[in-house]
Amino acid sequence: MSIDLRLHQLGRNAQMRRAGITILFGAPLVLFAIECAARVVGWRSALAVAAIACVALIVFARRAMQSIDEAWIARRLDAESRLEDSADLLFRDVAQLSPLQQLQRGRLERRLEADPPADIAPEWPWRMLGLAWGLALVAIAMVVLVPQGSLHPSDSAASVAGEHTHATEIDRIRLDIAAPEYTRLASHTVATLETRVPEGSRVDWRLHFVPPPKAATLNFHDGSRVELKRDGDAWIGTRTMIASALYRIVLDGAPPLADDRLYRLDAIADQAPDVRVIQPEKSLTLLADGQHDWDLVFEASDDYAISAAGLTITLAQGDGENIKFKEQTLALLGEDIDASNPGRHQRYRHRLDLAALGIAKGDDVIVRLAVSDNRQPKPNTTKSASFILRWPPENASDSVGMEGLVERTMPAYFRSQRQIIIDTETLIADQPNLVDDAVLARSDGIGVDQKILRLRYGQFLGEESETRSEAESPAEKKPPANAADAGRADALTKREGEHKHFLNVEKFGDAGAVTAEYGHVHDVAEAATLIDPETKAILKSALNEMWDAELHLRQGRPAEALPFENKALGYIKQVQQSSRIYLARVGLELPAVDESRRLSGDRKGVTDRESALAPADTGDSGALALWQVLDEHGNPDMESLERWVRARTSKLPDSLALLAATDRVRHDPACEECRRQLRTLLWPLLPQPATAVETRVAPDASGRAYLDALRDTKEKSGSGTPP
Amino acid sequence: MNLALLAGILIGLAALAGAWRTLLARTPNRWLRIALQLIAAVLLYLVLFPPRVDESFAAGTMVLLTPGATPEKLATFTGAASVVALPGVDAPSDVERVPDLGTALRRHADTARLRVVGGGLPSRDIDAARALPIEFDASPLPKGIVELFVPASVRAGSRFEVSGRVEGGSGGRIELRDPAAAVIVQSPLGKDGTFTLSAQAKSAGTAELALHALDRDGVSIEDIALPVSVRAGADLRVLLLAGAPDADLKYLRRWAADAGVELTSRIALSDGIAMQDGSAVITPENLARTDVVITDERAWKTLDGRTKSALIDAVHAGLGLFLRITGPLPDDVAAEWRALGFDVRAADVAQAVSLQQRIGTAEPAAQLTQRPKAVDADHAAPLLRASDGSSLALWRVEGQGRIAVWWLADSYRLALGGDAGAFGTLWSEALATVARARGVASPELPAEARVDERGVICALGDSAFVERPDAKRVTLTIDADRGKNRCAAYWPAHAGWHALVADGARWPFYVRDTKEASALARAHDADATRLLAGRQATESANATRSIPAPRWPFFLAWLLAATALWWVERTRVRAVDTEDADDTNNQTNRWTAAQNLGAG
Repeated sequence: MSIDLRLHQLGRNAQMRRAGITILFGAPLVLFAIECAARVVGWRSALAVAAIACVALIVFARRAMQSIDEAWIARRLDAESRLEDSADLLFRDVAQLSPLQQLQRGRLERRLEADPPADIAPEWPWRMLGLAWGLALVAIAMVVLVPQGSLHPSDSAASVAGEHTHATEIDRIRLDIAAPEYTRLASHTVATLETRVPEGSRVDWRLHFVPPPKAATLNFHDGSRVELKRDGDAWIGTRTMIASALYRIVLDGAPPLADDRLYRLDAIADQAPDVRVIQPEKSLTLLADGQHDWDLVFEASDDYAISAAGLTITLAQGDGENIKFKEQTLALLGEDIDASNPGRHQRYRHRLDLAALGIAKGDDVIVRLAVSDNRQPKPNTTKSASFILRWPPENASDSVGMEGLVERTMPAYFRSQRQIIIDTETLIADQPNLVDDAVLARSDGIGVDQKILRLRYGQFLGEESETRSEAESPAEKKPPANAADAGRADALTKREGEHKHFLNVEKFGDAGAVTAEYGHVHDVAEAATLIDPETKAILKSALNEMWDAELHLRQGRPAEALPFENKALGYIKQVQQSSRIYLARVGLELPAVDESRRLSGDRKGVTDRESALAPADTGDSGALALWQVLDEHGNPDMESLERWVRARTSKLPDSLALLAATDRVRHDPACEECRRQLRTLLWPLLPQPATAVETRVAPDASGRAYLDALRDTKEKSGSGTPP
Repeated sequence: MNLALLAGILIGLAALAGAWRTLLARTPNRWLRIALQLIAAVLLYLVLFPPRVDESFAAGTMVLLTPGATPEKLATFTGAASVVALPGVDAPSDVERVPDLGTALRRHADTARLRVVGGGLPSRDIDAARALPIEFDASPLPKGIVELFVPASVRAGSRFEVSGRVEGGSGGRIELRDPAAAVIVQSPLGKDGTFTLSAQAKSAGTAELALHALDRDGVSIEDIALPVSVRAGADLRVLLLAGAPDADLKYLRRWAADAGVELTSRIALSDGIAMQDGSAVITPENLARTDVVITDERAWKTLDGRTKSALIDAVHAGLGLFLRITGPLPDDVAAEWRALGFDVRAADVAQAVSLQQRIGTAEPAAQLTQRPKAVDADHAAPLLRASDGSSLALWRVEGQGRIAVWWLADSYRLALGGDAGAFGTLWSEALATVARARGVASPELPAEARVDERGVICALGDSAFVERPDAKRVTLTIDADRGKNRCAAYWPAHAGWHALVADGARWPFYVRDTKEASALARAHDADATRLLAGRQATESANATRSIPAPRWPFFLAWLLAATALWWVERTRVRAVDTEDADDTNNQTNRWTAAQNLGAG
């Protein structure tokens, strides 16, 4: 082998060694980088990091190899003293060397041929390599052992999802809700497990589970179950919702659901129809002269649709105790008020032919509308109030010979103060559309009603002569226009004829009038004394307000009358409420007095009595105990609460919410929000305890010493200064 | 071991080693070199850790912009050197920002006065501001609930009052709602926005009530949580002796039975005939078990001398004695009660009294009557006051125990009128004041704790820990250095009900969220700042302070010393070379010189 070839071989060895060392040092770094990438970002990026790192390692190894050139080999060879620092001559072109250099080169070649040069490749740095690999392994181990969450804190959702890999997911949710046909609501679909459906709706569940279970059931809170059937990869089931319910999805052959709680389906109840009577305006109407028919107008509305309306007409004929009734029912056909919602808002008009009915003088016609909605199977029915049309009978004349004038008394179909207020408000609203005369006429009509009511309440005070007495006494607060009021009295209807006589104040002195005035008992003593002075005072104030209201009404100024009307109503309510505090008397039943022992001083048989005072039963201790356990993060006894709730389903305002909250806490005892919600729901159920008592804090040693010293001082000073 | 000491030891060891070698080397100028080495070592230490010197400086006023400062106010401050802004202030961009007051004072060491502009100093900065005279240029308070007084805890079933003030709430109203959002009580706000609400507590536990402040149009001003911690009561042992049954006793016994009070009673009905609850006999043993004895003048008259002295002895040992006046006092009873410290005389006083403001009863017709008595007592405190301030009951200390006299005639009207809570509150407070002291002192809990604000809990037991709302435990580190108070700091990170658990008892306290009840926090800051601002400025405008001396003179001196050392070494080496000293010695000396230089 020539020298050249041998030197070349040496260089080649050194290059390979250098590259090997570089790769051995770089490999742990590369492994560490890959591991970090895999932990922090993911395996996909780890592959990319691995590729980049390998390329980088190869590049570095190549550069390390290239750093070994002829100069480097020459330097290493020069380390041997026998080459006499002239190893670079071996790499030069012989032709270009000076003779002296050629001579030296020859010497070197000879020496090398005799004794080949030692290996010049760098030593394997085994210790450093061991250290590097050791450090790298430790670092990699730390990365592996560090908790997953701390590496990417922002990505907590991913880790939560990771925890639930053992739970079944609901991939797709589809609830087809078919409302009952009568509601005419289109069936719709929701993608949630909780919703509100019209009462009686059919709910079709269509659920996709991942992974698919062997069997699935919907367990309802009332104990009923709906087995879900398999349809392809979907699970389907059906139930008709009669009432609100809670349900849970129970799976067989698969892990439970990730969100394994009770779901709530609320049934929206079908409301009964609402009936309003437009005409007649009053509950009692008197037949006008020449009236042949009676117009009736009703309005009704319902949340879905009205199916039927029946008008019940009752004819009451006769007098005194001899009254016959004739009843008939007419089906009415309504017209839609709101054309876009046919059947929901209806107006019913009917013209009652009185002649056909056979009404005679003194008869009553009583009508009432009953409206049914289209609920199935059993419709909701609402009945309106009854309205009376009366053909007033002739004045009776059978009281001849009695003192004074006897009028037929009328039943008390007078309007309430509230009704007067409503009428006034209606009038005020209508005022801009009416001519002045019409306003005056309607206002005056309301004023008449107000007057009747005032007189009616006046009876309770026994002050039938109020009108006159108020006119005469200026001390009483009294509207100045009362004379006008009296003048208008002619406008009163026949109903108040009984009072007319004392309105004719101008006739004072007229003998007939005097007879009329004093001819019958005005002051009903029984009525006057029934009421205590306080109530009387309030009633009196109410009457004063009514006076003022009437004044303004009669003058056609309803807006000014309204405040007085409201005040009068307030006073009347006070009277009504104050009359409610009277309680029925209960007799005190004492044992009969033993007359033989009375006042004899004999105490035989009289002994101490042991009282048995039992603490009040606050009840509902289940709720209280649970509430307190939840407060202290304890483990609550949910079963007893659930039993307690189920026993009181009808009494509790929202027992379903309570059951759902209880269930959530039971399934997830660590859920802070669930516990808080359950406590909130329990709060209204907590009993009100009696006030507890505490003892003050016991004084410490110095406090006791102070109190003792205080007592000693006091005793000393007490003995020093006699009282 | 701190850094300065460590460095000092290292430098000292190096200098000593150098000096030792120099001493052994037997070379010329030995002592000079040793001295130079030591000087260089000392100077090196001084360069690293210069000594502190006192400096006198001219002090100025720093303007501190705090959160809550109005934009108009902020606009008047430009980026002058003495204006700094705390975090949360929307100050002009050229104003210097500081993270807290302590930092500001370090940066502006010449500050002698502080002018606080805006809402006030946060509690964090209060301590830093104590050393300085302060002028407070306060912003108006934000709209909302700015004052709130709630009892830290209330007894189960008792009536309690919540009062406070709503800024900007004149003409509005305030509602107290229960956790289920139902209105418990509501009241119109006063002209200045003040309000007082009274509610009755439920059973023991913690509850989050809520206060809703509404303005005159019914628009919500602020909703804040009103945490109420309700404590269960203690089982009080009461012995009741009465000369005759009356209505007060009927309701008192009913309340005692419901509230779990252990009541034994003897109510005389006739001569030798009584209505009994348990065995109400006065013996020393029985009295030692009893917390309070309730009696009246008629029952007192029937007691014999031995019984009375046993009773008084028991009072000295801690028993409570509750004397009810139910009618005219016989002379001997009056004399004996005078000996107990109460001089009861018949007096012609108005008998109608009102308790409406005292117990916050909702019953507006709480018109009660008092007995026509005037009671004089030395060293006595009122036990119950009428709305007009006159006393209806007094108590005084007698030995370890207490004695009370009560001359309200018809407290039962409260219960009869439907307000059993007011009746129970009235009597439980009265009995608690008089009864034997058996209670355990509660730890001092932070009154208005907030997330991210340091709270201090004092009077702690050994194994105390805090239970967070999520039921996790946080052990407390008690600061043993701060004397007997046994305090620990607690820095809440979660809002909600926390509980201090110590010695088997739970003491709940509420932590508000940072953003919640912000007006209240602002008002609190403003008040705390105003308290600081109220102090007199004691410090002069010129002040001295301790600062590190400048380093450069020491560095220069060290450089000179090191240069001199180098020069001495150099001349010595040259001298040795000329003396043809042997090679090894020379090298050793060179190494020593290098070593010395390094050490110096």
